[in-house]
Amino acid sequence: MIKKAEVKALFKRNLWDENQVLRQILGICSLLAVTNLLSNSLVMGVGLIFSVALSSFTISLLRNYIPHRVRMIIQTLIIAAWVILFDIVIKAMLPDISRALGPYVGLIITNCIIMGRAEAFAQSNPPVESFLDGVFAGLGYTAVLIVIAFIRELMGFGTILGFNVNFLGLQTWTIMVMPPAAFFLVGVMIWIVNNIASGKKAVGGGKNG
Amino acid sequence: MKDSYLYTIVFTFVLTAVFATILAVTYAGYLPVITENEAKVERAAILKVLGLGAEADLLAAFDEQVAPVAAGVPSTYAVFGDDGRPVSYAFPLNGQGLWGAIRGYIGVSAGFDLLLGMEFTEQNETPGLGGRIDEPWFKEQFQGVPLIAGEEIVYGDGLDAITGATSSSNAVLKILNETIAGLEPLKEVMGR
Repeated sequence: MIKKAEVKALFKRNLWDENQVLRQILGICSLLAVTNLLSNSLVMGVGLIFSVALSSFTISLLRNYIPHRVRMIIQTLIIAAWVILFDIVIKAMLPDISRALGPYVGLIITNCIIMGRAEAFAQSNPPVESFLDGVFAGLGYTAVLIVIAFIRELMGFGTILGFNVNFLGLQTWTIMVMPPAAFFLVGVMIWIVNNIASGKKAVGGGKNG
Repeated sequence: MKDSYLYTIVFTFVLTAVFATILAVTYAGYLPVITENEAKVERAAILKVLGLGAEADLLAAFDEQVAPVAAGVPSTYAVFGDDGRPVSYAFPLNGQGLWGAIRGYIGVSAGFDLLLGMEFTEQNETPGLGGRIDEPWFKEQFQGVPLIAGEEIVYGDGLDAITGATSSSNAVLKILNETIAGLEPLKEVMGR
């Protein structure tokens, strides 16, 4: 069984030390597209957590049986199956959000984070660890999405989760609604996070980077 | 053994079959719900373009408010006034967007001289960019646009395209103009 300390280490690594978006610069494409509204970002995040966790779990379960030369095709097959499953379920349960996300649900399949976790972790670790690794990697991605979507929705539409908070009637910024805004924000976030991380290292001294 | 051709082929086949079965069963199970959801979106769009609003109680009473009419164009609906004559029509809207099909409805006054509204039931434009054609402010601009025979609707003068989504905006306009042009022969028969 997996130890508590291990879970903690996995959590910290995926959310901070090796955050998929901020440190590994993966999943940027979907981030640019869906972060103009908080609600879309939340669903995209949930979709990714679901897909990456279950894909990693399945790939890890089968890791000793998957023939090496067709490894990546099999991984893609498993990922695609879970994503299509998610697509069907939200089409039935959350039709409005399914419509808002449109083709991006299908494109979760090509989100580099899933393939990245499959190759880097699930391929060589037991199922439970892989599942948790997937959940945490997805959470790391979702956390960044939420921060950026919060700023973009607030400044671009003057709303939070669709509720109007622009009480003063201030002018909203069209640029915040458009993908370039996500580029600026994610750039600033990477800069801040890198600064904090490297600052910590300098103070901490003996940590291997 | 694990790297032999036979194993590779059999493994791939079996795994594909297993996942395909899981997906097929799930889809079949949810199909009634998905079909119902799509029908709901369709009915809401029809009510909205006819200016009736699409609250839950109105949706439930869909059949009492509008009636399908045979007009040479399938899925055409009409609202009838107290005198039994049609007040407005909803016509289906179909065409190619930037990335995929765009489907929806337009509402047209009985005299075919006023656009009452436009709604989409399906579109695959980029979320956050072209996907914004489905935002209310964009669609509402088309309410009350006059329809003049031989003249196309263009952007400008109170009708804005979407910043950063020129192709999708133009696709919508093209589909709209084509649909309206296609109504021209019906005007003789149904218009008043």
